[in-house]
Amino acid sequence: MREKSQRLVRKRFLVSCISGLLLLLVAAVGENSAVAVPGTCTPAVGDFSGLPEVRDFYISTSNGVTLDGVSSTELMYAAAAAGDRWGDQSTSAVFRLAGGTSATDLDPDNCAPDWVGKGLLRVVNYTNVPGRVAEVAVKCGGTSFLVTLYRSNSDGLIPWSTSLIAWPEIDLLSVIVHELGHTQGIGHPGSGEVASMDSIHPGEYYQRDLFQWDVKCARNATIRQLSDYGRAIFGSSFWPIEQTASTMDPISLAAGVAFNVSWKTVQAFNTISGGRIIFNDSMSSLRRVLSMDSYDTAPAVHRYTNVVAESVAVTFTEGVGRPNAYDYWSERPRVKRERSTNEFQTAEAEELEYCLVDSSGCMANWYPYKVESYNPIAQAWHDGLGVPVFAYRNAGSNSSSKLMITAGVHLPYYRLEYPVAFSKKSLVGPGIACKDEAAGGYDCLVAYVDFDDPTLQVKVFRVEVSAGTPNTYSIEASPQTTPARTGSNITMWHQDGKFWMAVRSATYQEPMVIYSSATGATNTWTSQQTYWSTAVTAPSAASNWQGPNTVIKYLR
Amino acid sequence: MRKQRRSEKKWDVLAAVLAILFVTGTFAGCAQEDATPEETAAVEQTAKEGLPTSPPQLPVTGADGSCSRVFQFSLCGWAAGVDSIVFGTIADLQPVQDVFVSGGEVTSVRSDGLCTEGYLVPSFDITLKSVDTPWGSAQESIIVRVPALEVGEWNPMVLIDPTNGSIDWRGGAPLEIGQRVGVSLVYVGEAKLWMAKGPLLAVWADEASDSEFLTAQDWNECIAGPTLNGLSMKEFGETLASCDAFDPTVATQAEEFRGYDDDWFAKATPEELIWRLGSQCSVVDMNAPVCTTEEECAKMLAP
Repeated sequence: MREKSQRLVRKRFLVSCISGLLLLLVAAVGENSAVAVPGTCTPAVGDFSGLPEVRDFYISTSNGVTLDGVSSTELMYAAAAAGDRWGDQSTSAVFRLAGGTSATDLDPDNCAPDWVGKGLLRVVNYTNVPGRVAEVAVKCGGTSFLVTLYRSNSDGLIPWSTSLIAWPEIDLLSVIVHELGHTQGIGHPGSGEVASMDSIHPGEYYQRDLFQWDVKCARNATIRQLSDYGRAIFGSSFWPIEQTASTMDPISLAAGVAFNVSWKTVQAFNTISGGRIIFNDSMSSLRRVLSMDSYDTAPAVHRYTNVVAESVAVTFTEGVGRPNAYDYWSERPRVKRERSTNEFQTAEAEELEYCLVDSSGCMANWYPYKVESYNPIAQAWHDGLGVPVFAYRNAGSNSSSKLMITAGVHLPYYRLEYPVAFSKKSLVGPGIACKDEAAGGYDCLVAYVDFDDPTLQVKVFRVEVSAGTPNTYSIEASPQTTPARTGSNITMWHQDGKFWMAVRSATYQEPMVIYSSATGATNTWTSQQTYWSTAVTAPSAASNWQGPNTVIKYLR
Repeated sequence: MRKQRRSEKKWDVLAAVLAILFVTGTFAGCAQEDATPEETAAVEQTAKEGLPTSPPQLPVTGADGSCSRVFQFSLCGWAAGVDSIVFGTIADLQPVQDVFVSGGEVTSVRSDGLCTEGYLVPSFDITLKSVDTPWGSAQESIIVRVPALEVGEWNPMVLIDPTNGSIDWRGGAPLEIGQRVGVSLVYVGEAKLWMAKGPLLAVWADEASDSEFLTAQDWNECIAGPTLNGLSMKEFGETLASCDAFDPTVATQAEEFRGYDDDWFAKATPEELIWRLGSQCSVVDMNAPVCTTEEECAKMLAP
């Protein structure tokens, strides 16, 4: 009995220790699988791989359920803007708010052909999951998606909000951005990364923006291949001439600003095989193609004539790949300089910096800071000062989304003069246009959308730029209002005695619209084109094409 | 007897010393248990016959959702939030014939059990035999209602084929008769039935260690629940046995877990409750018109 008992105890000891080892092993394996390396992309639960790259989606409101505190118009604007957040990135899918419908659900397997490749966004009264505010499911045999926004969950009525957010309100735009992210196969970040795809934070609206993790994982999940693009000469007759170049590489984002150097158009745009810059001297024949870096946002082309000979610089953002969970933004603008009209001297892309500059670079006691931006950097030529003026939407944790403006650039060091921050935050990439003293006594207009404006109305600040060390800026106290509404990047130019603005309108079908104004003041903006083609991403334009014409680039 | 205890103590001390020497204290706890005859028997017992020898597949759960908060709770908080946790062998599995209709909203109930204009997410009645009850009152067999609200979270969604009434697992892992599963339950008094609430569990036997382990469905995306996958049945049982339902943290978590379906079930009238526990017909209007201008849409979507 005693011997048997001792055997039992010995065996218990061994089994217990082996079990302990196994448990630790299991725990270790489990831990390894649970704790992801920062920056690691996680897949969505659903298989959304059958969806096309361009996704029209419709809003269903016919079941009579609404989100508390949100009008149907605000829902429409939020849906359009949410799609545009992704569409403005070169590597994500493209979403277009196409209209409304009385449909309230889609079949998991069998859909009418009209629904294949499309999506539905609906509002439903209740989910039993505490904390859940929305979800998205695969439908139509994997070719469609259904976004469901909930009015309430088992915690009670969900306090939705579309503008100024206070705890515990839930930002509608952030949630739709998040759900559309899932339809690209992206799950939730696993290492505490700041991301739109993280859990929605009540009382916050910073997740309206895409962060490093979001952009990186969209790039991993999606290969955008838009095969068509439009180009237009927009002249005094206001009649567009559209062309396509189907023989070119498939393009993944709207072309960068077309600009002329000695009457030659310079275009930069993204293709699926990497960025390209194209110089052409007529509207029909391509002259030169140079391989370039890959871009994450639409590149901008800037022209300089005050530097040695004529130069153009292509500004674009590109992730620098720092897998830090707490980096708000590592998508930093880079600049690549191309010099001369016919002899192209390419340089390595460098990160754009800012500091107080003199002829030799940064002034003493100024350390160059890295420029961070969510969107393309808009630029206009200030003919009075003979320098370019830049406007961009600042990223980074300190002054996220604030509008920044700076006049002057110091090539070849890729340094901007110390930029001045507006007090306003913008939801979209701003537009800028300048003409000496033409804007009601000011030089430049900066167009933007208030970060917390649920109606996406485009407003304009007028700015006077004075040369000095540093340059100084006189900014209009209150913004001017325009009739344009958009959730996507704005493009502006000055031509023929007027300021012009082209945007994708934040309404059903998201048509491209063009407005003009002599001074930029409220109630002076008039629509010039209402029959323009539909663009799937933000357009870009340049004013300096020969004569009164403008080149507008957009993807159809 | 006293001598036997001393002998056990001697081995325990030796085990502790060895543990410290060989694994730097990592397994110090393994020799500090007080052995009971039941535990000793459990250790010597081989894995139950019929159990799979690798983690069995369960229907995948999870949604691509947005959460305004991620609810965190422990194994004890979950257990205290349900009335029972049982393990049993599936003896029967039937879709529930009562059907409620959802077209974005719950609108009506069908008595004929048909769902010809949409898709039907079943509620299941699962009969479990040979039941073990590590939490709650023991019983030999039990019929468990897995409501459509839970089944609707499975991915791919499990449906009923309207042409013949069969269960369409749509490529996902099926539940099968003879399979041994676990489930956490609440008792719905108004309907007099046990309702599943929480992830399905399954048991498998690891022949090498002669131990049984858990595998489980994932918690939904808004819950950071206890890790159940890979947990040994022994540890699972020990943790449950150590749970103090009156601990303030446990009690708070339990209350939150119990409130999970309150709006859907507890606040429903008895009539509503019966059919909310039934299968769910989601209506799909394949010919629903679309509008593309604001004017068209205003006209079409006007109430």
